[in-house]
Amino acid sequence: MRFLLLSSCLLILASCSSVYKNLKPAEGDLRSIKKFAPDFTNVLYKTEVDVIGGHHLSGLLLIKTLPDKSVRMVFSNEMGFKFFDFEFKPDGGFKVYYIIKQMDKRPVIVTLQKDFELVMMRKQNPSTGYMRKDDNYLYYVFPQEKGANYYITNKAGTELIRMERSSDRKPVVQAIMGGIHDGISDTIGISHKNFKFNIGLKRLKR
Amino acid sequence: MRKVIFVEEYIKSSPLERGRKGNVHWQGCVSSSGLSKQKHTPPPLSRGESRKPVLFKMMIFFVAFLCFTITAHAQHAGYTQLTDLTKFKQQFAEVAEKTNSIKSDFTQEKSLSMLSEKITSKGKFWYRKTNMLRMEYTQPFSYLMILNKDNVYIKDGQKENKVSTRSNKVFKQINKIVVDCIQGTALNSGDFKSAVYENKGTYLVSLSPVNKQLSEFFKTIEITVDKKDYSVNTIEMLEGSGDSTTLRFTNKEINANIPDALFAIK
Repeated sequence: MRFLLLSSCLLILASCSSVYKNLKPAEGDLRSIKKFAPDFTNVLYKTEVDVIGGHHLSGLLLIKTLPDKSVRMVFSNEMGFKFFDFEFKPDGGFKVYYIIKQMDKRPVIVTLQKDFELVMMRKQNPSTGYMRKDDNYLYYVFPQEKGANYYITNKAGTELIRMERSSDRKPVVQAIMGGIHDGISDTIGISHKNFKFNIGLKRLKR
Repeated sequence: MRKVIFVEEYIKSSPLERGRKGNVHWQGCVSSSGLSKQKHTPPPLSRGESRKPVLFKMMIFFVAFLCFTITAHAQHAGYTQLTDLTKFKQQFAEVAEKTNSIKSDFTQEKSLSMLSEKITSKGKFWYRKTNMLRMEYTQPFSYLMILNKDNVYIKDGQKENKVSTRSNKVFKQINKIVVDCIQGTALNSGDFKSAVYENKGTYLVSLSPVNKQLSEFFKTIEITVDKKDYSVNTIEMLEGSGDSTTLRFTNKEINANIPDALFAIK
């Protein structure tokens, strides 16, 4: 019995430890991560969303930066039916212009907002941010209200490996960008670790 | 337990600024206690259950409009309003009766008013009596939708989806709309408030949804019909936001022979 208790305690301790705790402090220019920020001046993505239970949703995502520097994001299905219309304001604000009733739930909206903020490299406060490293990668860390956003590059800081939205202990969302041409990435993948919710974007040439 | 913490993270976050209705939407939020219980059911999109029907529902509405427009054949002239719709309705039903199939190319234009942006896509369109429709988008993406009586099939890239309209009450209702449209009875069905206008070469049928489900998606649907052959030129679906989707039909062939295989759902 004592052994059982002990081993359970060990298990709990092990599961509570952070995947980031072995990272070492690193020197570097925190702001340089911005060079990987995708150019969303005007881009159209074919979009696929896979949700728990094998459900699948597809459509077109238009991302456009308006003259006032706000970024609008409109997701509609192939036939033109709009699912949502979001605005990311230059001052960090966020506005929902439209969302269909079935998706109009706060957790859904907040998840989408945070996922896209991670990819757009918003909410990066250089005064609270810091850098870490391990044997293979550099970590640009920007603490958020809860947890932090991690941008992980190669050791030289010349290649963005992946982006992570994390709790204090482990990543809850991972995102990757691929095939970057003129600052615009041809593909973007966003994947949740705690449950099945994956977003895949593939750029459409217009 | 970790999942629960994650879930609560959403709930405690600051309120969102809303475009239209302020934080009234809070009432739609799920209570944290409720969420804490569903450890393996993620908060946001776990309600995929409701998602798919929504998608299909919208598609079928769309199909219903297409079918309607296929049969929306009018008489008369100049974007002046027609006062007597009896004759129009009769004509509408007559031409619908004679139209067994339609083959056409289409261009779809989604206008986003506030973004001053247009998304254009193209494809091919086939319709055959009764209740059979195939829309194949070819540019700038490939997407296939087949409606065959009680079944809907969608192919999006490598993913395929099949749904029976029988298994679902909503589909059943929508299917009724489709049939009403095809039989030319949609103008009398009570689902839309209709007005018909004419100019020299075309009729314009303006439909305003009466029921709440439909009016959530559209303010009005405007259809222009060529007077020459009673075929549909354009369908414009206007949303409350000012955005719209326009379908333009070209290279139309009425009553062409369309093989069964095109509507086959395997």
